[in-house]
Amino acid sequence: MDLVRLAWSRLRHDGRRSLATFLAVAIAVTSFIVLAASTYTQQLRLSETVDQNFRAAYDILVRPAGSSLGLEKSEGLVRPNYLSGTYGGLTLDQLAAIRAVEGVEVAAPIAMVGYYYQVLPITIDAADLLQGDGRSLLRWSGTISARNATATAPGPSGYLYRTNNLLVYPGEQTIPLGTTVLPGVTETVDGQDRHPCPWPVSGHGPESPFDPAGLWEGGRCSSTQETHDQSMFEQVTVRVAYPMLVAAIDPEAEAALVGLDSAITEGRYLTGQDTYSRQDVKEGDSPGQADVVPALLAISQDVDYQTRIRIESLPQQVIDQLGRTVDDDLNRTLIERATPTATVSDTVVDAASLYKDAIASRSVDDPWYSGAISMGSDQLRTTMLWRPSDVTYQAGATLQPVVVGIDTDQWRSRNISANNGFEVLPFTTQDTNYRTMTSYSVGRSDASGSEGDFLHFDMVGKFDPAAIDEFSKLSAVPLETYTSPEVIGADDASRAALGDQPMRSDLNLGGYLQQAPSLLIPIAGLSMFSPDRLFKYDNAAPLSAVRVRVGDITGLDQNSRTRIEQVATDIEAATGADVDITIGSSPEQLQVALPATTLGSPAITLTEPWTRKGIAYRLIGAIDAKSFLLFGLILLSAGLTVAISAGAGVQHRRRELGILAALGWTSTRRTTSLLTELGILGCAAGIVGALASWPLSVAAGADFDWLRAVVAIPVAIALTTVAGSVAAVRAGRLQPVEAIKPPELGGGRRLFRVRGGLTLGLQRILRRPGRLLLAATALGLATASLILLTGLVQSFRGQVIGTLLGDTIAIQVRPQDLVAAVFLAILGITATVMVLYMNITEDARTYATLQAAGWGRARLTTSITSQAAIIGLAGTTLGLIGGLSVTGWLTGTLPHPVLTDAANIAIGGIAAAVLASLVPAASLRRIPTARILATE
Amino acid sequence: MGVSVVLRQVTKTYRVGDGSRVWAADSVSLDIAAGSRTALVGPSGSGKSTLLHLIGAIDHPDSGTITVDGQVLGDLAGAGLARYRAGVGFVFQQFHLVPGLSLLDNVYAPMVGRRRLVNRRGRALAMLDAVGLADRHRALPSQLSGGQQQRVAIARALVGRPGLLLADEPTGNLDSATAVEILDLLTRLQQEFDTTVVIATHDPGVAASCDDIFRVADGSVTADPDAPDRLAALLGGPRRAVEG
Repeated sequence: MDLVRLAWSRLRHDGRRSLATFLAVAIAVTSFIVLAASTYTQQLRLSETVDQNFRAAYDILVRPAGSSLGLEKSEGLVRPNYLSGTYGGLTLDQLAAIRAVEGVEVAAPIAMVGYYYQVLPITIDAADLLQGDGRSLLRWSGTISARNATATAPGPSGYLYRTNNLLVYPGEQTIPLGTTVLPGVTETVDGQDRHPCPWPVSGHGPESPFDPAGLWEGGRCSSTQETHDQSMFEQVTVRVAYPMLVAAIDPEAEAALVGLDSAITEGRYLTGQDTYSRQDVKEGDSPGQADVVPALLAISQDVDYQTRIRIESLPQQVIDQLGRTVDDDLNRTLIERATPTATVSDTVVDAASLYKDAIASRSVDDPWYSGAISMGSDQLRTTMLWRPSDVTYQAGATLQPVVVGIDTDQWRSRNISANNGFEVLPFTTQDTNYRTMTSYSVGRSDASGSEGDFLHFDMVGKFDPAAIDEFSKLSAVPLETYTSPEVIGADDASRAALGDQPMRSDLNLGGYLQQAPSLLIPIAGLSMFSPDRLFKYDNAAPLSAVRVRVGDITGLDQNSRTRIEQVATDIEAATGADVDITIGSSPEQLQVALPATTLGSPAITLTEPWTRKGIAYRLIGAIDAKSFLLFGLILLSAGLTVAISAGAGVQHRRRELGILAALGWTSTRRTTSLLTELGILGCAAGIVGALASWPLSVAAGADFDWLRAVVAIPVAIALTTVAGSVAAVRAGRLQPVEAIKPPELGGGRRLFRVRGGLTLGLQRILRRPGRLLLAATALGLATASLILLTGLVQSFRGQVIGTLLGDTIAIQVRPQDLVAAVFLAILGITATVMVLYMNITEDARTYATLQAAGWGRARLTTSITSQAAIIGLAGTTLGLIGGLSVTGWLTGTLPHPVLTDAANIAIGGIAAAVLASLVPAASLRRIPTARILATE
Repeated sequence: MGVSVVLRQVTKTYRVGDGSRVWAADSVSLDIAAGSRTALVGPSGSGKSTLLHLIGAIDHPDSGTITVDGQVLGDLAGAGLARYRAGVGFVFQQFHLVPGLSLLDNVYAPMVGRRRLVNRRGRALAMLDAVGLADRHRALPSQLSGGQQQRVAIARALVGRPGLLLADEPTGNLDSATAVEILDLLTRLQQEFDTTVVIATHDPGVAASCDDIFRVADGSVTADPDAPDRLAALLGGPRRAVEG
């Protein structure tokens, strides 16, 4: 009790010195509490962020053996378009084996069937545009554009002609024998026969990019004298071949996996009983049978393909020249070369809107969907399927998809003889291709051209892909079943080329991006590919992938991880398939370089969200390691600051400790006395620190916990006493006579002549190499801590950045790192200031003497700042060496930013030491010169 | 009871800034009788303080032995050494009071941990009363004059009833009137506690008050048996005039 009372009495009565030590300890303790809270909060929040975002739609992806790209295997990635180009490969038995694995909660298979084209007409009524009482002539031309209108291609063109004369059709006139060119439609103008239009009138153009000669659709002529409906002759019709991707799913599994059943907007969801059926249909006026499979239709598609139709009026002289010959080529030349008088209509139709309006907006009850209507109607049906291959990439830092040639034979139609035998296709099909194409006729070998030849999709319901269960974008895994990957420009030029929009599919099946499926059918419906179909569907192994969700996953804990790994191992053993654990993954943007394309799009570089596997686990590991190291740094810095502060306090008490020793105090009692004082200071600093850390923690964005703050008080006591124990023990061992002797004024070797403040400072600091080392160590530790922190941040960012989840984490980390840097710097400066205080205390006699000898304040201040500069130089050098060494050892690398930051920190450290030295330098004013000199 | 002090061939050297050695005590042999009052006289830097430090065991000799009350100091260490120091009263020229402690606590300080001493606080107050400062026991040393501080230092030195009191220039920082006052106090208390007193001084007046005087010069000590009488005559009064 005596010691406590005396310690308290001394602290109370020697207020100024105690206050300096107290402040230093309080700063250290406050820093410790705030930084510890900040670090803990950071770790907690980051872990929460990771934990909240670690799980996506599925945990494990099973693909056919050998379907994974080498890049995926070597880099731990999953490509975003893994379903494209994968048509089957997994058997239903393998699916059953997956489902039998213990721990599998959902196993949702998907079978990519292939594309067919749904031909959608764009019709523009031009009746009102055909002006005038006499004859009028309109020229129309289509232009196709895609990829933000950078890819363009000419579309079909033709003309509309209306006359007030009677039109005579070929069937109504006598055609002389030997005529090789049919005269077309004939009218009489000024007593002469004119042939303004060919006959028969084209209902629509051929519209295949591979039949450019057929792009000219010719003219359609109408007469005001006709009594029957002339509307079909007074409209422009352009067809868009819209690719419909068909995929087969297990309805129940898909509902469990992504909640597809909840995304139904109209009609009903598929059931386990839905399968292929053979239904009666009308074939013309005759009954027939067709193969029908129930399907769900996506109500929207995100594609980039526009059809522009411009209609222009042509002048009278062109009208007068039209039809002077029966040669349609001459009419075409006349029309195409004419200078229009005006653009009377300019319409742009987007394919996504067309899909919505022409397909998705119809009611599921509309017979248009059912297939039970006569042949020739536009229905959801096909006799052809196309299957694009995977994209292959050239090796390199940027993915470069390999361009492939176009095999036009794959675009020829089995059933259609028009268009020189080509299918109606999107005009972008002729653009640069990255996927080879294989076409399949799915018609019956015995029913070519009949209704039974078609596969019909009976729309039972529609779903909204946007209403699929939301999963965190930070841990998104490819869900090609519902959405295309969002691919954006990687640089300004590419973003500008894409109009600052994501790149979307341009309907080119050979293009880089693929569409999401438009039609989902039940896997059971795959039996529609019956053996009598020309297309031999691989019913033995129809599945392209199986997405697996594992049950009883509680988080990123080790048990859950072990469980998932066990399930993945079991699936691999049971199926022999390629198995990827996708839980805890996050999208990572890989760059893809696309060359300039045939249709004029410039070369662009894209970022494509591949999936980096296991990133969440790496993040948690990196967060834990960073927090641990940061906490260690904080503890070390705070401890050293307290140790130096305690040392400074002991230095102040050197003489009285000697006196107490002379009075018979044992070294243990003296040590205990000092530790008691430090404990009291620590307690007070802990209380103040706990109180001060409240607003500071809030300001620093850390979670403040009173319990933690209260616990910090005994921690502060322990920290202070432990940190001060070295100084206390050393003080306890001091020989009394050493302690009570006044410090030497100018003894020792003369290093150099003192000519002013600078040389005095150098002499004072160099005379005490041990003290210089202590000060340099304090500043060096702060410097090294900041460098290490920078290195940790860089390393941490290096480990986590690049994925969406990692980027989010990296952004969250910044404020806390800044707080840590600020407090570490404060600790370093505090320690430096305390060491300078210590020096001034010891050199007080020198300064008093010099002041008495007429030295001014500026010169004495210079001696302090020059000491600080030396300390700064030595400290930052030590810090640079130590910080970079430890950083390099811990992180295994010293990237350029770390070296730059280290140099800046070192320069800042010297500057901070010099600036901070002004605080102890100000204490020179308080040196009791007279009293000190009186004790000489 | 006062104790005897015997020094035999005690040597102590210090290394100074230029690397050379200074002989603060050069084979000093000395006998100080129990209960006597001895003066070590010599100019500044002659080695007087060093001898006091060695006798008080706050420094240790390079060679030779110091025996106090039959106890060889070189054999002491740790708690034994601390116990010895606690049994020695020390009065310094610069007083060396603990600035952060009140007068009472300064006087109390030598008794910290000595639980066998009863009524330690009362003893401290009594000692302060003996030096005339009991009414200011709460004051801090910085609030006192030099003479008052030295009174407190004497009170602190004597509070443990030491057998040996070592006084290093006890009046060196005091004016002559205060010096006389302090010497009177020392004399009175020495008689009261029957303490052996060794005083280092270059003040002939102080030396004259002692039974024995030893001259210290360049670390060597020579006895001057006639010195007290000569000093008394020089000062114009009988020996121990200051006692009166």
